Amino acid sequence: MPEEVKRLVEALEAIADKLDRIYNKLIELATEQHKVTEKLKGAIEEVAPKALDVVALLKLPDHLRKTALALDKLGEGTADDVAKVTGRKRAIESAYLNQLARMGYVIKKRVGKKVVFTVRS
Amino acid sequence: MKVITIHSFKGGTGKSLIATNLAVLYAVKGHSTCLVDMDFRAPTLHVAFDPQQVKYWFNDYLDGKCSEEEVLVELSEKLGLKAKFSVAFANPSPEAIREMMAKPPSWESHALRKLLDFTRKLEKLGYEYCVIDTSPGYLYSSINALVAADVAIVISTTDDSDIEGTRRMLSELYRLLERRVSVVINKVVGDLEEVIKSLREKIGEEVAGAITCSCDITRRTRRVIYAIEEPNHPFIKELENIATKTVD
Repeated sequence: MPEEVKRLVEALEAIADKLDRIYNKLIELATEQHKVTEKLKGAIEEVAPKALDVVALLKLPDHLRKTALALDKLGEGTADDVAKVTGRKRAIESAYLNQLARMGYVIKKRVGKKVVFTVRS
Repeated sequence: MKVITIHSFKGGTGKSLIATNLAVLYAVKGHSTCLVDMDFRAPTLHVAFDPQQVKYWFNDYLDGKCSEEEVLVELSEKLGLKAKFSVAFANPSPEAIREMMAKPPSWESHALRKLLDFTRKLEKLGYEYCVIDTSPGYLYSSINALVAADVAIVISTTDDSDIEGTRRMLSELYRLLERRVSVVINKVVGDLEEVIKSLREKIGEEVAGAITCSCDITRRTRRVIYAIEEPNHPFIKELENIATKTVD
């Protein structure tokens, strides 16, 4: 094989090797992007606002329904306010109210040092 | 303030008559009271109280067309009561009834928020009792009224299908809402205590009282408010007894 052709083949093999590596990198990036998109989609679904009507209330598990009914009566309140209505511990109500907020039924907002929850209307 | 919802499984059990007289009884005893007609399918409270001019109905309030103060019709003077007594009437026109029956679930969800706002406002206005009359069964508006209630009084007759429906409603609906419930057996013929005992076995310990069937009540017009006109009527005496046992 003439020297020039040999060098050309070597150069082409080097290019093909680089293209392979670029291709593999692109596959890796696409996989990562897909994972991030799925994660974001889940997060959006989690906080999608939902109305807490009687059908939704009746479908809630007993422990969350008790919290939701107490907040319904109050209109808005802190975990402490809800705990006074339900007779359960503040920390428990805080966890349940946050769960209802993640489900989209309750709005959580910070007012000064307090975290106030409101049923979404 | 205590919110008392009057409900039943079937129609024709005497809910409206009981709601009217229970609310008036509280006012007669000097408590500021509000009576709300949420029986949008068959409004009747306007017949008993005959209001001359209703600017806004409770339907309008739930629709966001008026304020809490605007929907309340003050009737203390007309009824000769010293305590504040107001009624929020349901619109009895056929168009309004049809419209209420066609409301979508999204509207009912909004109506629940409005009803809860309404009861909170009544408390701020100094009312001590709010009695809500509802439609029978598992209707959206009636369940909304149960969510707003502190105490629910379920009226049943001694009819077998009514008793079975009441029993199921207590276990399927009321248990989930964790409301204080008292079942009152109305239109009883025979010994009240025996009926209460027998129905406690069928329905449960929630059976709190019974009211004798009074032929004169069924014969007379709905315009008679017994708590005012005939405070010594056995119906009122039994209702007083139930109010003490179930609410106070």
